[in-house]
Amino acid sequence: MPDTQWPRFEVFLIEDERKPAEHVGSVHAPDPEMALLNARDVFVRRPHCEGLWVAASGHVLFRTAEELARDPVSQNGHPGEERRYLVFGKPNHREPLALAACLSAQSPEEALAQALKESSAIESVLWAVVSEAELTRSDRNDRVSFFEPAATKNYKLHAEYPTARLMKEIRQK
Amino acid sequence: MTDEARLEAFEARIARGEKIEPGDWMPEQYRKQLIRMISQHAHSEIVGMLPEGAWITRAPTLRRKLVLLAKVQDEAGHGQYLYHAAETLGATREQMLDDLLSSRAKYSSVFNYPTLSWADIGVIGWLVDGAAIINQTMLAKSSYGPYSRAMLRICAEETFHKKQGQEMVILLSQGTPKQRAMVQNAINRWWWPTLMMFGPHDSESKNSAELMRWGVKTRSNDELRQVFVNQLIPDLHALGLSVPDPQLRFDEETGNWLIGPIDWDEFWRVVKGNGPCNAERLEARRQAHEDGRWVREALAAYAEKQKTEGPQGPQRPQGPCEFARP
Repeated sequence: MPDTQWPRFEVFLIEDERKPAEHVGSVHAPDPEMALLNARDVFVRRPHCEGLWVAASGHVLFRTAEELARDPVSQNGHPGEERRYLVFGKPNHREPLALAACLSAQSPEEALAQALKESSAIESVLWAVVSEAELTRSDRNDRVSFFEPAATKNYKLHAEYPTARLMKEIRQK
Repeated sequence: MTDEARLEAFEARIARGEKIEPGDWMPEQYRKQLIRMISQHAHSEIVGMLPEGAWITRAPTLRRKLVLLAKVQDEAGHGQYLYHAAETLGATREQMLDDLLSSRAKYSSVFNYPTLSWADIGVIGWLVDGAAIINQTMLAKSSYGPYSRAMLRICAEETFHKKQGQEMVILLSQGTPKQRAMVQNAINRWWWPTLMMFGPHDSESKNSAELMRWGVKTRSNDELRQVFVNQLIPDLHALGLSVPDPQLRFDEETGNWLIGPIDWDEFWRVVKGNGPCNAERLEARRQAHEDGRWVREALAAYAEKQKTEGPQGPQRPQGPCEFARP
């Protein structure tokens, strides 16, 4: 059996149900379920997280603004059946690559072209497009085992260590 | 567009403070330098788990054990963020791990020193993590988007590493004579290896000029080292502790604490593989990789079973995403 690091999965995280999902990085795993568990270990060692999605990297289309300027996205791509696509945009280098549009299309390229047309006002330095059907998502049953443990581990907060006060007291002595 | 025009446009983007994203045009040398730097950084996080991991079973209280476990677990996560960033440049995980295990790759030489007492854990947290944070705060401004984002995430998490270490050193320094001696001894051993973490002097650093021109680094090795020394010395002195440098002096004119000469022969000896623990660290990594083989095989077999027999695990939600509101 080859000793490989397995396929890559892109990880999207919902920090708070009032905020859109954002792309945070990738993990390697043999299947989507393990990808979700690995994503939990790598990206949810701290609060807050209320949901995780993973999708095989091959199913996520990434395009930078520079690539689009060089090579405009074709309307057709490789048309397949009509599916719902999630389009993520990164308005500038400070803000995350976050969910910007949900729309129906026949390919990720078409979804991106639509998003670009409909939201021509939105500037983005980086786009990511994924079909909703390709996502493996955590659900409410995962909350206790996936997300709650991080919330009680206060010793991971730097405010738990009163170093400034201790130094001040010692200097005054 | 010619390569020359591309390079000019690329450098103009960096000068404007834009981030370069995977897929954007970049000079081959920029890609190479970043893969080298980011993979070395990732390896450092992974090997960095070993010196401290050795004390998890010997932590003096349950709380200290939890703190140390969380810190070591963070280093594993930070290694993963960084491998991801290197992969966006075309490096593969297999190649990077193979380079580490076959001792072709470098990692921070500070992790090739042994942890001899419990006080070492405090001193590593305050000094080694403190030095790393200074370097990483600069790298968070790096021109390569994924590297900069990994650094922001890491810095936010690592502040606790430094503070838990500083708290330990403060408490030990105010403790019994034996505890004071233990923490002073740990500082004596870690001081110079920590200063070497910032890398060779600017005049000797062959990569620095290029990395600064392309905004990967924004401050030089010597500049960052000075920031660290200036931060640490007054606090250590306030605690009645000292550093093993007879030539250390405060320069009124510049307001800097000036250090004596660094033993670069030792630095290169350790970098080239002949430090006190190089062989032990790599052996521990290889052993961990071998010990994990059956887990990888079992997971691969399970994934195969799902392919032929359908999903075996929990049923995941289908249909429209909740919270999928942009």
